Amino acid sequence: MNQANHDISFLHDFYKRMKKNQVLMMYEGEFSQDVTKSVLSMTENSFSANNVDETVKKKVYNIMMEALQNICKHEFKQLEQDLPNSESLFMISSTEKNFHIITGNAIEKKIIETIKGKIDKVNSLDQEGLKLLYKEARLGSTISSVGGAGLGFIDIARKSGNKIEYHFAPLTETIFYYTQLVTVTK
Amino acid sequence: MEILSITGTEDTPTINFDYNAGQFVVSGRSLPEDVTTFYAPVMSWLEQFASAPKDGVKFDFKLEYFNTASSKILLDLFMKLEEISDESGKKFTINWYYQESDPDMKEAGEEYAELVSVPFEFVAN
Repeated sequence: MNQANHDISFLHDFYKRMKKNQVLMMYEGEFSQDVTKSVLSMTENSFSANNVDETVKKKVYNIMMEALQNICKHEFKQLEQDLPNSESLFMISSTEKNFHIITGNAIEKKIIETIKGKIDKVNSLDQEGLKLLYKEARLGSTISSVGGAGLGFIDIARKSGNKIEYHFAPLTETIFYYTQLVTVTK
Repeated sequence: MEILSITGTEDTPTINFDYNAGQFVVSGRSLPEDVTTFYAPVMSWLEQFASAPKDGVKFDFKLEYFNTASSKILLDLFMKLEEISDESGKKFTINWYYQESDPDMKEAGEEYAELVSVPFEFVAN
C-alpha cells in the first residue's frame, strides 16, 4: 500500500467517526474574523438544509459567534516553538436532543482562574440571575483593547440554558489547552 | 446635516440616518471585530444631531444578530439619545423590530427599554 492509499483510508475512517458522532463541522487552524464569518455562514447553510428550528438556530448562531470571537481575541498566539496539539479548534455536533458547540485553544496558565471564575459564576445562576448579571455587567463594561465587552460567557450561558463545561490540559508548565463545551437543547 | 449611509456586510449592519428625509434605520447583523471603530461615525453623527434634534424622530432597529460588544455600543447609543432628549426636551421613539421566532431579540430590546427613558415600540415582523 502506498502513502496515498493510506491517507485515503484514514480520511474515510475519520469521516465515519465524524458521522458516528454527528459532527456537522470541524475547523482547526488559524482563527480570524474571516474564518468566523465563513464558519458561521457554513453552519447557517447546513441548518437551512436540515430544517433546524428557527429559535434554536438563532441561539446556536449567537453562541458560535461569541465562542469564535473569544478565540480570535483571547487565544494564546505567541508560542515560542510549535507545540503539538495546541492549534485552536472549533466543532459543532448534533445529537438527537442537543447541539454541542465545542471550542479549544491554547491559553496562558495565569488566566485559568479568571476563566474558571467567570464560568463557575454563570453556571451558578438561573436565567433570572443571568439576566441581572448581564444588565449590571453591561452597564459597567467598557470595550477592551481587543474589542470585547466582557459579556461573552454571560451571553453564552443565557442563550444555551445549560451549564458551560470546561477543561484545562497542560501543554507546558505555563501554557494550557482550554476546551469549552456549550449545549443547546433542540 | 450630513446623511450617514453605511452599506451592510455579513458582519456589519446597514445604517441609514437621513435627517431631512426623517429616516433613521439600523438593520442586519452587527458582529464587527472592532465595534468602536465601526460605530465611531454613528457616534459622531449623534453629536451633530444633538445640536439640532427634531421632535418625534423614530429610530428603527431591525437587527438579526449582534455580538456582546455591539450590545454594549447599542446601549451607549440609546443612552446618548436619552441624553439628547433630556437636554433638548425633544421626544424620540425607538422602534425595535424582531422576528416572532426570535424571543431573545425581543427580550434584548425589552432590556434596553428598562434602562433608558426613550420609549421603545416593539414590532414583530
